[in-house]
Amino acid sequence: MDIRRNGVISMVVIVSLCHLLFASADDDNKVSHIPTLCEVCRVFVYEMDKKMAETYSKQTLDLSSKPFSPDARKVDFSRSELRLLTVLETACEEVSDYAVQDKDGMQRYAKQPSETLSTLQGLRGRGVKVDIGMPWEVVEKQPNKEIASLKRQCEALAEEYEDDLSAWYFQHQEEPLVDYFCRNTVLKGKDQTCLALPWQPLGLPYSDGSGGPKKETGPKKRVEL
Amino acid sequence: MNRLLLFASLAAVLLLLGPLRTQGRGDDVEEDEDVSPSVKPNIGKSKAGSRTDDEVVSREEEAIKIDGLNVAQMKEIRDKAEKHQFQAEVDRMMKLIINSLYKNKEIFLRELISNASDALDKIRIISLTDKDAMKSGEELSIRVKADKENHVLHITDTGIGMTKDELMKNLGTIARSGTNEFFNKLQESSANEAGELIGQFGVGFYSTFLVADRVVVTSKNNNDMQYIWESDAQSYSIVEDPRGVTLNRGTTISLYMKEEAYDYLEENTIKELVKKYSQFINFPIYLWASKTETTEEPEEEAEAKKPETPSEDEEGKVEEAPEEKETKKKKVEKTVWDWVLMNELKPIWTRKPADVTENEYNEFYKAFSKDTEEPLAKIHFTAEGEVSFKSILFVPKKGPSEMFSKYGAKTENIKLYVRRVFITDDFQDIIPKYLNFVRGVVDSDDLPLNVSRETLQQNKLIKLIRKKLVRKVLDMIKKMDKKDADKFWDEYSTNIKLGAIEDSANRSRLAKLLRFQTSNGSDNTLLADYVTRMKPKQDSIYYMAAANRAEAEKSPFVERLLAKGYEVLYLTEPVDEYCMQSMPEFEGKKFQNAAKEGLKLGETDKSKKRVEELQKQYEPLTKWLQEKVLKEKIDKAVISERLTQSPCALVAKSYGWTGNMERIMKAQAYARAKDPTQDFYATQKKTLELNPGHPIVKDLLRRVEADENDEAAKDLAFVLYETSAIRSGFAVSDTSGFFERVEKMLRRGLDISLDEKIEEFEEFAAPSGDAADEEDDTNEEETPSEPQMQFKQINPQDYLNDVPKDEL
Repeated sequence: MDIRRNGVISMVVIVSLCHLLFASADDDNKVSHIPTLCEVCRVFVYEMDKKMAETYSKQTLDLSSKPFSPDARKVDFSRSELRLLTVLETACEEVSDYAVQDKDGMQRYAKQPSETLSTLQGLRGRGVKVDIGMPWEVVEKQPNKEIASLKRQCEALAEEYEDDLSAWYFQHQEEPLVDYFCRNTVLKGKDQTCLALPWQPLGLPYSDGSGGPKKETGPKKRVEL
Repeated sequence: MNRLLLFASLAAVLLLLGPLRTQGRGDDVEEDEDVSPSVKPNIGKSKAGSRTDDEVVSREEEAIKIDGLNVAQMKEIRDKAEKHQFQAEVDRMMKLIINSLYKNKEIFLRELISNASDALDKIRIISLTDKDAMKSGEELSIRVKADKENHVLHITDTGIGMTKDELMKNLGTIARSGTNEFFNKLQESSANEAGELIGQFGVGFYSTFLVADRVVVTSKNNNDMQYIWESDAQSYSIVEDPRGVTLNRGTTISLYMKEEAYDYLEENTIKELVKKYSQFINFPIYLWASKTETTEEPEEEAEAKKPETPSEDEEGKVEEAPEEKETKKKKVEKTVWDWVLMNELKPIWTRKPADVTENEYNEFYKAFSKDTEEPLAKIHFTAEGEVSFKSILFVPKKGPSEMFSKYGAKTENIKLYVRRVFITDDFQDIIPKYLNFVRGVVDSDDLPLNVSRETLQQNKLIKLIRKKLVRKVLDMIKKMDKKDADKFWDEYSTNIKLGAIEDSANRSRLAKLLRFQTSNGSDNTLLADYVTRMKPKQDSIYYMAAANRAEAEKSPFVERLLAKGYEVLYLTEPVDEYCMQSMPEFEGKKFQNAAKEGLKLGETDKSKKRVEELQKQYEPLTKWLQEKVLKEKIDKAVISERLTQSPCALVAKSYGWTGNMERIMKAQAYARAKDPTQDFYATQKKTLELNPGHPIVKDLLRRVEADENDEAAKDLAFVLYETSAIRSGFAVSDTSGFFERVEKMLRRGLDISLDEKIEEFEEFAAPSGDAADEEDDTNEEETPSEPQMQFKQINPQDYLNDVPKDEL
């Protein structure tokens, strides 16, 4: 409906998309979803691999208190406790960058604004008054409940499986983390179907062709999990 | 006598460096010359039965300092001394040190004591294999003495000492690799870092020139004669000590202090510095200190009496008249000098935990923390890995009073030592905020604090330490016995809950420590214990947050849960509900807030069917409420599964605020005014749940089915909504409207006509001019008829206009 007001054409877009932006566990099972352990594990592995790639360094750590003396204790940074700590500490940090997409399978989670939100933002940018029953600040800032759950579960995984992750780090780094950690540890004997699903963590192009995956942000290897 | 030396040495320096000295030094020279006439060999002085403090000092001086040289001897020294220029690197380094450490001068004492301690360690290690090494003296100690009159500070150790070659090598050259690298780092480091760096590089000695114009080092090694090294930072000289051996073994560093550094000659300053940096040095550190004693003295003959040759007494026994005389006594205040031990606290963390007694821990804790009580718990451990360290951590019985008002402020409760030398307690991140009550020490033999920036971030290493400290603390808490754990929980429950919110890396560990009140008895329960008591098909942990236990127990939300025998946790502390919301699950069990959507009680096909039937049966009522009467107030009206006694309840959306959360959020002192996010939550529409078995609800359904426009039914619906808001812990926004409706119902209940007029009293309507206004106000409030007057002012129409018109 168009309303002419003060000479400015503004379109009031009334959308009922609380369910998309605030997908909650109990509204209706149609749209709400709590991330499964498999999904959490896959996101975790993607993020941890990313942090591993980011922290890779050929440097050695000089760990002597007398750093100028020849007997300095040196440690390969790529196998150091310090790197592991950094990786585990930050592994779930970027989970808040994910948004719930109106898509099936793993593609439900991607690091791009959901298409609906993106469309609304576009409308707002063109001066259209978008009213979806909540302040715009809330729409933009509020972490989605499902993503919040994804993040908390991710953190729990990092904490509770720290010993397994350490074992992988110190002894099996060459093995793909998704196999070592998800297939053979966390999801052993559990539902693993999500691991086989196609997934573009950075998102797929929107229906109008825009907003495809950004290339730079991801690590070069291991993106295709 | 030391004045003589001072003069002689200065003269030597002047001779050496006269041309280089700046104009500004002229005053010093004059001063020195003024002093000179009084300096003469005063051999008979000690025989004169001296009493004054400075003479005591002079006498004691003999034990530790070059002295007893006459002018001729000094001349001889001057002539004989080999003059040397510092190696260019040393020169550059001294300049760098002075530039980078001028704000942190005090570390010179730490560095000298640390060097002394190293020298003592060396002789001790040698003595393990060489029995003769200690023949030159069994004592292993560090002695600090300030000569305030001459502004000289002496630091003497009985360590290994230096031969002439070692003096030249150690104090004149840098014969180490990495010098340039060191210089580069020094240049870019802060004063704190620089202090650490010079110690690591083994050049802490040169920091003496921050406070001293001239430094004299007298040293005696078992394998050489005693030598005197002397420098003014420009050049140095070295000469065999003409007095022969005065130090049996070891080194005295004498600092001729700069005027601006005279404070370092004060007893209290020295004590504080030793305490701050060196209290855990393994060897005793003594300070030549005075104290005032009141003694009884014979009134006469005091002057004539000869004291017991104290000049022989190297340990500086109290100087007083030991013989009792028959003469009259009077009270005399005397200044008594003696060596005072400054580091009584032993670094017990270096020992094996099994070898340390409980009492030692407690005494250490009290001395270290200034706490008068014993600690509640402690943990003593060694951490291995990339950063290895020893640590003792304590939990005080009482947390600091400002624990939360200064939450997040830097605390200085964890002290970091490297090889028992204090480095810093100025760490933001060595322990997380929520554990800011933990006190203790971390000591590493091997802590690369200042490894260059490009390879390693200092704060990352601190993170490694922090991670280990947190794990150990949580471990210690977990292992407390019941009694201690109860005490701990009473004192620190909020800390642990904040931890569960803030520390995602330890959330499940912290969750295991959490305790809440429960419907299952009066004691707090651990979540793990709750889980063991869960019903076979129960998949959620139920909780109810409220201002207090009674409110939670009586909340409509827990009615059915309790009736069906489910255990409900009562969250009565403000932080509780936040804390729960930050936890995903516990041992695979989800958390369910009883006041929010999503509460499903052991659904069976039968019960599901029944609910569906009821939903259908009540549809006229729910539709009427949701679409007509309470359209602006509620999101929807549904048949409740959680109510047994109350007619209805207001349930928050799973992402909205419960009444308890609303109460807490509105009470935030630091809340942003008109925060759109907050407003959004605060104005979120809730779900009105109806108890289908309740007679009022039944009656309401009947009325609505009969006549959709029944005014009484509308009022009833409003009041039901508002009372359930109150019962559910929410604030009622339109209190006047609420009271108006309640009044209407009261009138109906009492069979008073809605039109019946309210009687007005003239006395109240027009206040008399005599009485003060304020008095009137108070009187009015006490008047029983006041509420009526208020009602009178309300126009029902006003209320209707108040209803927010959402654009939806």
